[in-house]
Amino acid sequence: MSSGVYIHIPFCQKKCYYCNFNSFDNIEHLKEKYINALIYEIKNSSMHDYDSVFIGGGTPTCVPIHLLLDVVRLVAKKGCEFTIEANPATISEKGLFLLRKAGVNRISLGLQSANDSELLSLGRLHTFDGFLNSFKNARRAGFDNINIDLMFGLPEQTIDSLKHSLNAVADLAPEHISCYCLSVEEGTPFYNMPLNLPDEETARQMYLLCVEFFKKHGFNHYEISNFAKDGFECKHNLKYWERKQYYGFGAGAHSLLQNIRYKNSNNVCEYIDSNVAERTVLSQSEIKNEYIFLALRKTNGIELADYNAIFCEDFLKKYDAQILKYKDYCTVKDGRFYLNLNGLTVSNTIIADFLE
Amino acid sequence: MTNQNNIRNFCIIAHIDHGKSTLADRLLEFTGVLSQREKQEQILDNMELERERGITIKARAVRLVYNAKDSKQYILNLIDTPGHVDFNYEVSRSLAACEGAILIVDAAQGIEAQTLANTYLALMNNLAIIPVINKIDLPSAQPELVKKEIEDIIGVSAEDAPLISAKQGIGIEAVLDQIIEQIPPPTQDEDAPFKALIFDSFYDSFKGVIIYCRVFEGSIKTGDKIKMMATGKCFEVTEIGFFGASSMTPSGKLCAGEVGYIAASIKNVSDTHVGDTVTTAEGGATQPLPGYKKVSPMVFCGVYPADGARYNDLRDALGKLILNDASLSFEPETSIALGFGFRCGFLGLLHLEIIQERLEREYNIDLVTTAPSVIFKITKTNGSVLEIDNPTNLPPAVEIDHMEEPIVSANIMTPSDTVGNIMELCQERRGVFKDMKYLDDKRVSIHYNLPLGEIVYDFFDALKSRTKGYASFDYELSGYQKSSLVKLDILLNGETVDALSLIVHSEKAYERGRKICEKLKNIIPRQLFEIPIQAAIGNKIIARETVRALRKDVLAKCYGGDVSRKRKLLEKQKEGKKRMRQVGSVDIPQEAFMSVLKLDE
Repeated sequence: MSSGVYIHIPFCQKKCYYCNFNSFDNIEHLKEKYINALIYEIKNSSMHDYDSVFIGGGTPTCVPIHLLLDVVRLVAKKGCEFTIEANPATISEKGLFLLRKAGVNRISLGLQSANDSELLSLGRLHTFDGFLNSFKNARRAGFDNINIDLMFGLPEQTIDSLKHSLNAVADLAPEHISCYCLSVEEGTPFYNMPLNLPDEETARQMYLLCVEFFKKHGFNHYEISNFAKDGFECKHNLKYWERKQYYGFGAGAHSLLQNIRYKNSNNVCEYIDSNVAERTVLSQSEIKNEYIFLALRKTNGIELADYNAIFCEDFLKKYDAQILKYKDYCTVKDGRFYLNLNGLTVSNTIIADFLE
Repeated sequence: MTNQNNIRNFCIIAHIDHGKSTLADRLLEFTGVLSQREKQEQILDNMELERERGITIKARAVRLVYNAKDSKQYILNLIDTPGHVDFNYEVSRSLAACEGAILIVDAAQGIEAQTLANTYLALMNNLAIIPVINKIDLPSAQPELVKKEIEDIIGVSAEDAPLISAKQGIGIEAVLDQIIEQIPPPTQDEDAPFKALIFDSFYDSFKGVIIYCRVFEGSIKTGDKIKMMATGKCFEVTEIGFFGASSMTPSGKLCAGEVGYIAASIKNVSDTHVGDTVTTAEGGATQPLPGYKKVSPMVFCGVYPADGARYNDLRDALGKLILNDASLSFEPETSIALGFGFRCGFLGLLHLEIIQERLEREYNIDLVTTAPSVIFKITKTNGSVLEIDNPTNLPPAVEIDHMEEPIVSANIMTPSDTVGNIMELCQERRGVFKDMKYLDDKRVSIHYNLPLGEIVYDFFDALKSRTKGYASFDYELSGYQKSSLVKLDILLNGETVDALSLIVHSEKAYERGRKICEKLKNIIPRQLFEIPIQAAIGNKIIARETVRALRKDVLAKCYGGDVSRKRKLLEKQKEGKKRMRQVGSVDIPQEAFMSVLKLDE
């Protein structure tokens, strides 16, 4: 089985108010050194046999294009799904063209909302028009696999304003859509701001609306928050949910190799100077818990034969009480166990009962 | 043999924090019982919990040897007394073992209710009272005012009261001299049949139960056969002696007037009731010493292990605690909500809290406890009378002719500007005002009759919060009274939760029901379905709240980087669920069972 490769770029032109990822908008001067360190880490790794690459951030496209291309060329190879995240405000048509030529074949564009007022309140640097421009440029540069990131549950957002965003996205006919509910995390500017967020019931309706809308427009709902046209499911992200091997490079990146997790230094300077990967050997129950909670994020859930073979126990027998308790929220069918749409809306509550 | 003239038996009476244990330490230090090297803060409070709470739970006795100014050597027996209202009877027996008492009053705070109650007990036992004014080193000390207060309120001369600071070691010798001068020596018949008063006991795993006693008549030596007059049980004395600061010193014999210990291979502290008289098995006394009564628990609650698998550990721990605490009782009980546990009886709320804390701390058992209940007397329509300490056991309403509840006579001392608050609180708790006395222009003593059931909830807390912590409180059981009581049930999702049932006064049922529902609404986490919380009397619903259904609970993005973090979040959620109790389909957090107590906010 081939592995995945994740490369982290911890730079942003400006951090969004809700973002708690490992990215910074005040260390511009480290970009070149960082890319060198990154290249060094990749070259010295034991990485082999991979069929997906994902460059994420941060904003990969806010690194000077020649530096970014150095990284891309180092890992690009034939037959590989190669995604790069891009922020509409930071990418030119030429840049997109160069990336495509160097081997990137999938672009993930962060839109979040098609309403400029909502974009402003999230701290995004682009407008909807700016995004449209980038999207068209990406198409022109030859990208035939584009993901659009959307969010719901935003401050001041209404069902109607969400519908507007959904229609705007559908009009563009992307191949893939990620659609998340905003979660306000500690340590972000949002955490300390008085936000007028939709209430729980509205947020639930928003989620159900998204699912219904995208299904109607021919997308497969294959993970809690992810939708894809036939054959365009994100190979790389599926590796996370199916606990396949992946190598992570860059500050704060994680790897999963033979049930051992590695985590690089979060601190960018530390990463450049002397990265020390933290190593965590997962216990059997941690492995099992990961397996279950990740698999149940996917709409096709757990493949029972696979689970039973890996863990030498009968899933249905072990969890018969829970399955009965949540009979309105889950389904056992065709050798799989999965949460139905009702179950997905309250998946934490349910999944918690399936952990050891 | 010690000449009785050279013996002084005394105790120390003080309010919590007025410095009893510190003075005791100073006396030990001054008389050389306690060398600096062995000194540990407050040696007399030797349970960790006691030291932390600053209160003495079990009485102790220490023998001091003092070379007085008249160049004679005196034996001073210091009998320590528990400082809390729950242990009133134990205090009275400790006092009965003495001829005198040192009354410590804080120079800054003056007399408190508890001090007064214990001083009256001492006066009733004809003890010589030596007032001592402590903490004179505090800037806020007002020794002259306090002296006047002592004379006005207690009616004891405080003119010669030593002004001391136990903390700084000031005035300790004066206290010792007054003990010699003011407290009469015992004058008792050494040739009469042996008679000794048990004022405490504890279990030693090597020697069996150790009895603390005061010999009133006759003498006893190792090898003698003794009899407990209340229980009639006989034992052979294996060891006899007195107490140094931290060790037992065998002496082979104890004579009239002396204080010491007896070990007689006694297996069970319940054979050695505090207040009982020890005599010899043959040719012993015919009349016991006066004042014995069997102490029985007044407050009951269900005690359950948080983890059902630890039921046996809980049983063993209670079994060990009861070895040292005859006033604790327990018997197995079963609750639909909480599983297997024990109904435990305590002297009062403090006693309950102490036992809970000891179980959790010393035995490492997480507990779920139900609301405390008192003993109700039920007269059924068929004329039979039963006593119940668990609301679940109340017979159906149609079978009950009437119910009675225990009433206490309570004395509250409080600053005069808080009288209004106190009276309001007592009225809320169905108190009946008896009288009120101004102790001086700032302090008042208020006397109420209160149902015990009303003070086992959060009365102490309410009292403190309404008087900025200044009020002190003392009570004793005064009897039973017919009362209009009802059983208040709590239903979750339509099912009665037995462990939440309460017996309350009919007039207060609505308010309490409403408050409990409100409280539970905030404690019970939202679940996938709507949960009605109802309070009911019989079939009649008197209050209702609803825990709304959880409609959305989804983790946001989950990619490579945050898998571990999110797994831990979910595992935490799982752990939280594990600590809950399932009643029917509803998960109830454990704190819900105690929360019904704290309703006064």
